Amino acid sequence: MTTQKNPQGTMKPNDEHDSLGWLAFRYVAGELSGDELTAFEARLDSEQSAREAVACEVELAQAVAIVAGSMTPVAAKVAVARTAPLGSAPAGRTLSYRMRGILVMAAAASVLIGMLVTQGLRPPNQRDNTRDNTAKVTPESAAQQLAGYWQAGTLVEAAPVAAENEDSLELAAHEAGGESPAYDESVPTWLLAALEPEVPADAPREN
Amino acid sequence: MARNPIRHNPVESTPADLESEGAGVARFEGKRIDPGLVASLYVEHSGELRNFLIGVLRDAELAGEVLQATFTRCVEVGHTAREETLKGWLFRVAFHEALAFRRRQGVDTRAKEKLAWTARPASPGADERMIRWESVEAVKAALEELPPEQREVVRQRIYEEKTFAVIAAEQGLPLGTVLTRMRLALEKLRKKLKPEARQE
Repeated sequence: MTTQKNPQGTMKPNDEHDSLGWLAFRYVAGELSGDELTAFEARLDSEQSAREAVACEVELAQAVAIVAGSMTPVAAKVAVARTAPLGSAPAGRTLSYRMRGILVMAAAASVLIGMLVTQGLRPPNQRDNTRDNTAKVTPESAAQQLAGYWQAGTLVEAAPVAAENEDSLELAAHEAGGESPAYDESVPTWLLAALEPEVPADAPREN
Repeated sequence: MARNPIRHNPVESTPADLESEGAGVARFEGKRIDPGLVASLYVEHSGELRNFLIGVLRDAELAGEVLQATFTRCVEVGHTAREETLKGWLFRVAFHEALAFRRRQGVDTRAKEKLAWTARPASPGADERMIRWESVEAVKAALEELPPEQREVVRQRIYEEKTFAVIAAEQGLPLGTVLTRMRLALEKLRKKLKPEARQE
């Protein structure tokens, strides 16, 4: 064991290999001062261990430079940990995850509602023909039907499944770290949007 | 007594100049070195020699040229070196050649200011020869085991190429703390990179 004083003034007992390695690293990093550089290059002229230490540090630094490129900065990780609750989607994608989930569930709910309501409102003797009618349901007509039923207060009575879906939506939204969707007397705009052929231009999209 | 590398001119050097320290007897005196031995030396040591030369020259292309010149010297006067010290002899010749190249090309000051690990070869493909894949894998595993504060200093110094002073200023830490973190991290990484060498 040797005790060496490094140029920054910190005193520590060091293993000889580590001291030489540290010196070699600072050499390849261009961090040696003029006198240190001269002294170290004199060692390179005479000591094989110093030469090998330089080769080792170059290889190490090159490998680290390759690997470190894929490393996430610690500061960024801390920032993510502070802003996103456990189990949530990565920061920056929360909204798109939530929106996608809502759209999928809303579309599924609307199809179920449409089928149930259509079946429930028809007399039993006409229900044999419903296959053709349900096949003709378009997104626009489904939206209009849903709006009508919603305002008439028949939605919950006719489609208890939809209530379950609403709970699921709230749960999904809660798990995604966002707020629960607002419940209103009118048809939620996001549900109507889900039934539109195309997503509105102002809706967030996943990158 | 160490010879002056500035005085030493690789082209004009005598075999005695290139003998290893204290090597009084040239085992292969009067003969040419076995080409097969030169080839095996190249296979065994060229990677390490190239890295060493990059450390000295901070230029991968120059390092390649000096490596070639070193082995040319090996063919010419390698027989004057003792067989058991051929590796050390090669490194010393390479160092002298590197200093001569550095001064000849006027890159001394520029080279000292550059970082060795950012040296990139002009020809594609040579990069792979400088870095062993197993080294990258070992370093990756070792980096993941480092404490976050040490890993961050390593990343900023080597990948972002910030100086220790800048890192210390940005993190609001004393310079000594940053240096200690880097030093401790490097010790761990070295052990992972060459465990057998560090156990000696």
